[in-house]
Amino acid sequence: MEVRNIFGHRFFKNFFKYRYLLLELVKRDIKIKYRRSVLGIFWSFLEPLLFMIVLTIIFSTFFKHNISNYPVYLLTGRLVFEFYSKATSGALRSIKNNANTIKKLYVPKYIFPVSLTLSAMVTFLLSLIVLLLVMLATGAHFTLYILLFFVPAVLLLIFNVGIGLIVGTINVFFRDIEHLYGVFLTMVMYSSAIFFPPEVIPSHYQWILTFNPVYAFISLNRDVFYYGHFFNTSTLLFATFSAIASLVVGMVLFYKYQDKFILYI
Amino acid sequence: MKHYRDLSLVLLLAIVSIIWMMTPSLESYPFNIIPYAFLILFLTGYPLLAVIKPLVYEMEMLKRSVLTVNLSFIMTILALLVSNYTTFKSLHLPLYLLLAYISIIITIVAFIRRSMVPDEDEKVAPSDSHKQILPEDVDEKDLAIRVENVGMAFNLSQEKVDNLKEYVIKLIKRELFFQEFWALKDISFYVKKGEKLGIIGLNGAGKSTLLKLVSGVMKPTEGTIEVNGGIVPLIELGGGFDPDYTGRENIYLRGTLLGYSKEFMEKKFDEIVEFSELEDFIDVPVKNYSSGMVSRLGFSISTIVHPQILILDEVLSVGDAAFQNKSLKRMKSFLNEDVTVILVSHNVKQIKDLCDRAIWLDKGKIVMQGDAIEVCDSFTESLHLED
Repeated sequence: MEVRNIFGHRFFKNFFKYRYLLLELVKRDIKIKYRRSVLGIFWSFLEPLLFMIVLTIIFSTFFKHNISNYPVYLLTGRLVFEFYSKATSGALRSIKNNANTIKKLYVPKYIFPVSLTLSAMVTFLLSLIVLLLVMLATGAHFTLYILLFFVPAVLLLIFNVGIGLIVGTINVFFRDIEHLYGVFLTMVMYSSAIFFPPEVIPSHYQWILTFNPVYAFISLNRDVFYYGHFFNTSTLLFATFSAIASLVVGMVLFYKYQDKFILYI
Repeated sequence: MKHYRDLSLVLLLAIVSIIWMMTPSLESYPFNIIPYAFLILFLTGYPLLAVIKPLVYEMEMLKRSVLTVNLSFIMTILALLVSNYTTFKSLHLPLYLLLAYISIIITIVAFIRRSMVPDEDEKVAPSDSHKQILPEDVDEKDLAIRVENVGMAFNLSQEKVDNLKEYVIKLIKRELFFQEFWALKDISFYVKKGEKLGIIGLNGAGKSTLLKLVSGVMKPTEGTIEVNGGIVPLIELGGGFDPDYTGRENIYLRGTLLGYSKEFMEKKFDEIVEFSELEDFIDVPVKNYSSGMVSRLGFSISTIVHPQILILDEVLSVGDAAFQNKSLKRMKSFLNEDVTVILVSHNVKQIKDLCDRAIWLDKGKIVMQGDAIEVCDSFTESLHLED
C-alpha cells in the first residue's frame, strides 16, 4: 500500500463524510442526558461537586495525615474514573441501542461507541473546570504543569475508545457482559485508589495498582493537578502502551466482527 | 504476504524485549514482566490457535505458528546472550524452556489433528450456469447495480449454544456451522442506470434481505455486490428516529445519518417540514407523534435529495389519501428522471405500472426475471394455480 493513497482509503473517506454525524451524535448524547432537568448542563458541574462534598465529609478524617488536600485528591481520581466508566459502559450498549438505525441504514458502526466516548470526554473536560474551582477554593498550589492536562486526557480518550470497541463488540454476542460490567467497574473503582491513598493497599497487593491502567491515568492526572510535577516516566510509558494496545485490539476485534452484528441485534 | 507480517511482528517485539531487558531502569519489579508476557504470548498463543483453528480453517495457520515459535525461540536465546538480565537467567530459564517444549508438543498435536481432518474447505468454484451473463449490448459502465452469485446464510443453530463448553464441543465436532438457513442463494442480476426494477414474491421470499444487501446494511455470505452511485434506502420509514428527540432535531440527525452536511440540511429544512405538513409539531418529541406522522417525516427527509439509486420497500402507502397522492407524485417525478429504482411491492399492478423489468423471488431463489409485465403475469398465474 502506498502512503499517498492511504487517505483515499475507504476508512478516511467515510470518516470525512460522516463527521457531521459524529458531531450530531455527540450532541444528542449530551442533550438527551440533561433534557427535562431544570439545571440542565449544570449537572455536569454539580454532580462531581456534590459527590466530592459527600466523600470528603466521610473520608477526610480517615486519611487526614496521608492526604493534604483531600477534595483535590479525590476529584483528580474520581473525574478520570467517571470518564472511563461513562465512556465504556455507554459504548457497551451503543451497538444494541442503535440497532434500529444499523438495521436500516448503512452507517459506519464504530461511530456509535466513538461518539459516546467523545461525549463523555466533553463532560470530563467540563468537570475539569470544577476541579480548578475547587483548587482555587482550597488554596491549592498552582503550577505550570497544569497546562499538560491534555496528555492524560487524550491518552485516556484513546484507551476508552479501544475498550469501548472491545466491550461493544463482545456485548453484541454475549449479552451477559452488560450485567457483568457493572461489577467489573466497581472492582476497578476500588482498585484505583480514588478515595484512599495508594499506600493503604498492602504491599503484596500493590501489583494491582501497577497493572491497573485506570490507576495509571489517575496518577498521571494527579501528577499535573495535585502534586504539580512532571509525569512519572514509567507510568506515562505504561499508560501510552495500554492506550495504544487497547485501541489496536479494539479496532481489530470490531472490524473482524462488525459484519455479523446485524444478525445478532 | 501473511508470513512477512507475522515475522516482522515477532522481530519487532523481540527487539523491543531485548532493549527492554538491557535497560537497567526497567529492571525493577513491574516492568521486568512485560518481556515475559510477550514471550509467553508467542510461545503458547500461536500454537494454541493452531490447535483450534485448523479444524475450521486452513493449513496456513499451522505453518505460521511453527514459524513464529521457532523464531521467537531463537530470538529469546539471542536475548539471553546479549542481555545481562540476571534474574531472567537464573530464575526463569527452566520455566521458559518448559513453556517452549509444551508449545512444540502442542504444535505437533495440532499437526496430527489437522492431518486427520479431511480437506473440505477447498472452495467449490461457482458453476457457470448460475452466472448472470450480461447481454451483449450492455456496457459495464452503464450498470448501477450488479449482483453476482449472492447468497445470504443465517445460522439457526446459534441460539442453542449458550455456554462455552458446548461451543468448544460443537466447534470440534464441526457442528457449529451446520444448521444454516439460506435466505438467498445464487442470486444474480444487474440494473442499468435509470432502469426501474421491481421485485415480487410472497412473504419470506427474501425480498427485504435482498434490499438490505444492496443498500449495504448487511454483507452477503457469498458472492459480490457492486453499486455505482449514492443509495437512498426507503425501508421501514418510521424506524430509526430517536423517540426523545423533537422532530426538528430528528431531521438533522437523520440527515447526518444519510451522510449530508449540516449546512445542506439547514438549507433544506423548511422544504422538509413543509412537505411533511408537520409545522405545528416540529418541536414535539417524536415519541408523541402518531405512526402516520412519523412515516411522513421519514418520507420527506429521505426524498429531499434526488438520489442516484432509490430503494423502495412498500412505502407508497404512507399517511392519508392526500399525502399518498403527494408522495406518489414525488415518486413519479423520480421515476421520470434518470433515477435508478428498485421497488419491492405486493401490489403487482404497481410494479407493472412503474417498472421496466422485474424479478420474481421464491424461497430465496430467482424464479424468473425479465420484462416486468411477463414476470408479473406468470407470478399472478402461479398464485391462481395454487388456489
